[in-house]
Amino acid sequence: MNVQIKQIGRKSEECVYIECVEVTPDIENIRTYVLTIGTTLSGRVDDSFYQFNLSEVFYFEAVDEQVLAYTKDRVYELRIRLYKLESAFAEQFFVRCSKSYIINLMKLESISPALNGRFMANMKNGDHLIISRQYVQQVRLAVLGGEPYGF
Amino acid sequence: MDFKTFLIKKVVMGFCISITCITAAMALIGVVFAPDVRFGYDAFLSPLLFGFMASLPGLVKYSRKELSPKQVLVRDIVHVVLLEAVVLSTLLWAGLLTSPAMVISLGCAILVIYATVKLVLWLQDINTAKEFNAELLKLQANSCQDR
Repeated sequence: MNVQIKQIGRKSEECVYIECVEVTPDIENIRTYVLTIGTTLSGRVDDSFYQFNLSEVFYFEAVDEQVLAYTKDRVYELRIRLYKLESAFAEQFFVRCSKSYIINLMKLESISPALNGRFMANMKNGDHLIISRQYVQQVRLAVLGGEPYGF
Repeated sequence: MDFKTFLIKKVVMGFCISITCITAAMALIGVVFAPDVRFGYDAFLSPLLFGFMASLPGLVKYSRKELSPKQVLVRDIVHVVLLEAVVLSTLLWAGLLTSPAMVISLGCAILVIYATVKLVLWLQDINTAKEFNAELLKLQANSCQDR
């Protein structure tokens, strides 16, 4: 595949064009990667605001009126609702696993059974989150794809 | 899950399944052991009564919050104890259990069935998790992230 990089002025918006004969899974992966790597979020730690990349996030947690973003070293406080994050980053491997959590599938180590048809999401940072029955199907479809039943 | 949804999805569903199973069990046991016995219309009420009594303990499983695996385990134990108590006391009250041996054997049977169902579901979940984890690895390997 031929790759071309063209430098642009600082005021222009950076953009990636993909020219392909067919949108294959590989092309979709490149698209998702570009979307993820190009997405930065702004979050508060104590009284300071920081920019961080979406791909660094292990999971989002809704606590009362705020949303927390967990990265390897920090927990950022965001001023956004969880459902908005869910719809905004659904294409970037972020999937809702319970009422309060959205996990990054790229930071998911494995899942294991957790009684009553629920599963435990074992994250790569060592945290364990419950995948509630209501969202099990959604998580399954995000990884396995295919027909909307089973699990 | 709110209480109304829980009541409809879990308790009412459990009630309907119980009625079906009790009716089927009564018919099969009756055909095998007492094919000549005839009942009146009031016999139709017993599956309803036992189904209702058997689905009541299911209410202990309701929780607004997401329960931890430990909490679920505790509620499952409470559920099976209540189920045993309700079923056995109803049968004793109805005069269908006449000896301690019958009470103990039925109690053990309920416990074994409950544990078997949980075990089968657990094994099924283990297989699902294995399949999911294999696909997750493929997805992560094919993705450009974390390379």
